[in-house]
Amino acid sequence: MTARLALIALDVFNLVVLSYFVALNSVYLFTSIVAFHALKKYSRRLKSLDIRDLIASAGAPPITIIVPAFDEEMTCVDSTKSLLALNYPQYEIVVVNDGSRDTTLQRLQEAFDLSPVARLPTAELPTATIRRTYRSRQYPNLWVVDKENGGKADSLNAGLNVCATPYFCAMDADTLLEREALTRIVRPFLEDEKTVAAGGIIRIVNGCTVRSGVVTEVRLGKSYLARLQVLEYLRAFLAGRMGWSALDATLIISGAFGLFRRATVVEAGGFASAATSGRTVGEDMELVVRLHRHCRENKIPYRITFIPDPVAWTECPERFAALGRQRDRWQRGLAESLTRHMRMLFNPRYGRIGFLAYPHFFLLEMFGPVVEFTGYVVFALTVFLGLASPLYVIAFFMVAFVFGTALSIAAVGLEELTFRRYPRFSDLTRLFGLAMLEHFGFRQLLTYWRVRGVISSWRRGKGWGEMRRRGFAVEGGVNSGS
Amino acid sequence: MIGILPLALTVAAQLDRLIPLALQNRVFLILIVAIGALFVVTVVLGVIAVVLRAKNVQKAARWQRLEARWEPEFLEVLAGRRQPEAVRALVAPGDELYFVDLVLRYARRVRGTERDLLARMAEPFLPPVVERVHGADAERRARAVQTLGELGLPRYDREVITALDDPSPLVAMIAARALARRESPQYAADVLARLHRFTSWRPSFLASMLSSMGPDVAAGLRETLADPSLVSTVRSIAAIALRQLNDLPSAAVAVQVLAEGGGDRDLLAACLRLLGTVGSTEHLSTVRRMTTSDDFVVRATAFGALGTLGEPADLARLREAAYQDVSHWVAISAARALKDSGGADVLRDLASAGHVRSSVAMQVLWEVPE
Repeated sequence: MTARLALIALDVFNLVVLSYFVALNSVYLFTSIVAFHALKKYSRRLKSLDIRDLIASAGAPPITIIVPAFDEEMTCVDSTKSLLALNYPQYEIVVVNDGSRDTTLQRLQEAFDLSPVARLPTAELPTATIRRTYRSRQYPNLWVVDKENGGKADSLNAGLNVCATPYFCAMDADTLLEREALTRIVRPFLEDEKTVAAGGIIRIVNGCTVRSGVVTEVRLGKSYLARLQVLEYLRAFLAGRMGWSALDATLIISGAFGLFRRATVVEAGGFASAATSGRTVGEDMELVVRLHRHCRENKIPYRITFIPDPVAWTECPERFAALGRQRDRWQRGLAESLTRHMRMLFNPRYGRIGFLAYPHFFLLEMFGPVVEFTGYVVFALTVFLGLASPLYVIAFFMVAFVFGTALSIAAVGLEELTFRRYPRFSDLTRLFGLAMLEHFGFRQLLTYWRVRGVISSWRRGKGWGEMRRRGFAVEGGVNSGS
Repeated sequence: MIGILPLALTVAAQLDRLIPLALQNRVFLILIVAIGALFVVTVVLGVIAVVLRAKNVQKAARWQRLEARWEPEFLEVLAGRRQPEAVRALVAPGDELYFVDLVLRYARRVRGTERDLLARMAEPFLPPVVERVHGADAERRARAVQTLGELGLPRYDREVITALDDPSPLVAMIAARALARRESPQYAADVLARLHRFTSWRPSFLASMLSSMGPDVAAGLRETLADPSLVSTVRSIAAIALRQLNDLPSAAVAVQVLAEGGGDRDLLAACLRLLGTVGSTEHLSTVRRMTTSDDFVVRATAFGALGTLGEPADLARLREAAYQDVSHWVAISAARALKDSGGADVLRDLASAGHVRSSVAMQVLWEVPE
């Protein structure tokens, strides 16, 4: 009797795994198809509007770039210099030193001739204690807020409290923005006053040549781990976020680069930190979910979108341990953000967010790794106990492998259709190879780290998640990551 | 790639078992068919990506070749050493739209007679572009309208003006911008009449577009601002544009709008800013009245206007707002107004007073005028 029940349970579980697999890949396939149409349309649209024309017109609204920095002594000066060279008519940079334990503040002081000066708060979001505010004598649009440690969200709120422009750009200290990134990302706000948030694409800088804070030559990194992440980012942004955005159901804007309407974010309570609505490591996603909720509950017409041409370059981990910590943190962020707003799940009040995007992220992205990981174990056990033919298992994995490869190659195709940032033919063939290789080890490792993230979200672990940085490469050099 | 080998070998070795099993078992058959179908899809996608790469490389090479051939001729035409008609002969059949694209790129950088020369060069190749203005695809229409608009040939004005009513807001906006770029008041009425179509764009952006048409557009803008039947966003845009044009007669219209009472916060603020720029002491009573508004945005803007129009007697009012207004925004606006109107000493006192608003005064004193 027990054996029979165990067999039934096994069958049910296998059915769950199969359903998960079919649902997840169908969604990916669907968003890829939607993204294909949206990207084709977007490319044509880009041709019809001249970016320089937009810059020339005085209509571009002023923007504040808020850069939280915690122990960023290796990159803070270079990335700030690259921000100062952006091609945008009117913007301020607010670097928020979040109680760094290293020489971040001293490096900024030396490099930019900072002097202490008072700055009026424009909002009153609670944050950790602000020690001092500085302004650069060399660059009047550069400010540094020095505060006690409170986490990334707390730093963003501190920046938001002194932001005096209608829009602000939230980004990471280790991110390089392309010169025209602000001009491009502001477009949805110019085209539609309802826009409250827009995200740009994040690309991987490892392996690229960086000169004076500008990526001058794009190449795939030497490390396989970095290359695999290039493919992963292409899939996530060009197929995933573009698809969701075309469906008007953007639920994630990367914390590394996003533009927001200040007033709406302040009204919604700012970023979730220990001092506000409770700390989370996924403050970027949590804010977007909350913005949806805030606007819908208050009947505010709004639009949250993703556009693929404003580019931010970021350094990805090249060591397993650092990558593991990053993915653990991302998964924790996802889980925390979604569980906080559970009432949106299948709630008609939240429209397609409640019925499409939220259920996808909640059921497939949050619980998915747990199902997948358990699936690996149970499948192996099933074969080991002789309960299923190894041929079935191999055939099933073959379907998963070919389906996954098809989706990755589709993402490479989308890149080819639009931006073609990797100019060498060898890069294209390498990406194809990686599309197949990633299923052997990398995907399983990611699943493992994501499961760890889900578990640690239950344990409520917090932290920035450290990654030792080497800094962006010097002139003529090649960034090889950390 | 290496990782796939063991799997492929396992499958190949089991083929003699796989085929009969697949024929007997429906689930297995579905899996095998799925693998086959997905494999074909993967290969097709891969081939498409490679073909796209090859086509793009080819296209870039062709474009480079054509540019290298045409660009020196363009410069000859612009320098007046060659007739535009002579360059047309260099355009082979099939290259016409590339040629128009290159002309367009140059046309964006030049004005006046130089642009006319470029337009003449492209003129015979424009009929296919005109056809696209009426096409089904909004992005293609947008590109076509942009081409016709940028080249500024009067014979295609009708197409550009008609595009103001295009169902796509993007196409309509491109048409409006193209007409605005002509800097000629004759198109102002067409654009102004469709302003309501562009209210989802930022008002300052639209105002810049309108003011770029030159001072002759001011009369139409004043009418728009004065018309209570229009939505307040449109009227606000007109007020911002009038301010950018420094249009003195519009001060009276702004006073009239402010006297209407109630109204939209953005419209009132735009009128107060307009008064701050083009008003005079005769409008002071209106501005002073608005400093007591319940809305902090209106109050802050009114204090800003008072800073430029005000009399010495207004310093006390500004001082009080800088010290005591419940809104930080109003306090900072009043502090800036104090600085602008010769009240820097008052600000210095506030900065050293250890008052809750001392930081406001310090910041304003430190600010560099833009």
